[in-house]
Amino acid sequence: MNLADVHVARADAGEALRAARALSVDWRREWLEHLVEAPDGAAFVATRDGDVLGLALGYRRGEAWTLAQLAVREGLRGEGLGGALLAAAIAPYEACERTAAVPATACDALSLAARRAMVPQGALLELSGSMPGERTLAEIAAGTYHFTTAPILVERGRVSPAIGTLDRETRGAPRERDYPWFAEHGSGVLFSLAGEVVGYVFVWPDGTVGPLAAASTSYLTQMLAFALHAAATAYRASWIRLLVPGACGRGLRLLLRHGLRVGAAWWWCAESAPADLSRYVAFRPEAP
Amino acid sequence: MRIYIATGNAGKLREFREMLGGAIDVVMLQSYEAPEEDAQTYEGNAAIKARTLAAALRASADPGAIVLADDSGIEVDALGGAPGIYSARYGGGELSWAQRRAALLRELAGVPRVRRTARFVDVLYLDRPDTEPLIVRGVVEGLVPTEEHGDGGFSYDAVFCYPPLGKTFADLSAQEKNRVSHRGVAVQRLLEALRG
Repeated sequence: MNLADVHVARADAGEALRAARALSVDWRREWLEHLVEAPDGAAFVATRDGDVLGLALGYRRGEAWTLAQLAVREGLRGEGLGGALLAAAIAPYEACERTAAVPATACDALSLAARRAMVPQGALLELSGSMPGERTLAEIAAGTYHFTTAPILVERGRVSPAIGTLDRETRGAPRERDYPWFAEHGSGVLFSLAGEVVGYVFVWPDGTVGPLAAASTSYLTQMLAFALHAAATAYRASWIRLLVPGACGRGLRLLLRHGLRVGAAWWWCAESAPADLSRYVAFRPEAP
Repeated sequence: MRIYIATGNAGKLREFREMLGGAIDVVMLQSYEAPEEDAQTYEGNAAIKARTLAAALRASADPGAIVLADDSGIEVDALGGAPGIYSARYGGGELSWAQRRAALLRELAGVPRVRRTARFVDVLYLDRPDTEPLIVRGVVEGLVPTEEHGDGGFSYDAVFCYPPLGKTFADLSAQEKNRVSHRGVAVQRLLEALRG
């Protein structure tokens, strides 16, 4: 393929969504619009004679820039188009810490990310399966610590600042711009102990759980069980899906013990290691 | 059935007698000398203690000796899981338990209450002649309070709060503690395994 024939241009949300569909990339429309239409988000589409050949989508939150999607049409991979798209997407954010989730078996993509200073820092595992029994979940959620729970509410466009603090401690950076969107489209819960917020989780109508962050690994199991129970009761979810860091041993053990299976694996690639993913569950469809 | 306990700790002996008592004769040798525990896991250290005592007993007094050893520790999240397997030596080899507890509380000064999560871990290793050892683990989650509380128990009991009861292990009666403690959970698992 001659890259000189390829046109790489910034795309609006509609164009990015059409490109994603053309490349068989499964993106939720509202989330893609939220990312692309915000000031710090940008999508780039590669075309040749009107044909969509590739898509890159990235966004900045604070000092962190995340590559949310990089897709090249099958049959054209390995010819430099991914690199060109990535370069276009990174260009406005050269000074930011870069992160991306790369499929664990995609060696070319891993090499490409590494050349742009995004090296594997840990595994991310997608777990899915039937919802464990409600009674079992309720028993685990009741557990050792007596949390009080409250819905995450958006007031004047903001949520509790404790969520950003927990994210900084776990994934390494808060994402203030996304919390109201999470609260609007999903269902968020704050966990408190002795009046202090010690965790949060978002649960989604399709049975997806995450992000979740806890102040201590000791709280994680109960919070995760609570979240699954909430998905079962609030959304009648019978099938659940989570993106769990390999470092989150307690979460993995709980979920695997209750019948969930690993369906896919990614490398979490970044310039430096995230703060503490042992008490974090990521937001799907993207990386922490 | 007689089980030798590989410990010189009277508090542990008392707890084992209360939990295993009845059909099992729990014996601690007055002459017990702890071997060097240089493994990097609770399981490894418990194995060293059980195997050392079992070998000595079987070579002399009791060829069919059954030996139970345990290794336990407190893991504090705010200290990255320390002191863990080094709990009995935390702060220095010559300290008393009261001094170790004080050292732990000093180390946690300024850490907010809800960040003082911790767990007690206990691993039991039962060494029997001519058969595989039985290894079980008990864990209980809790919080380290800002100051000691309670007169009962031993080791770190007075600085380990069990949230469901809102008390430290040192506040609990022996029966209450044995029902919920790491050692109590491990012993229950051991008894279940022995019953097959």
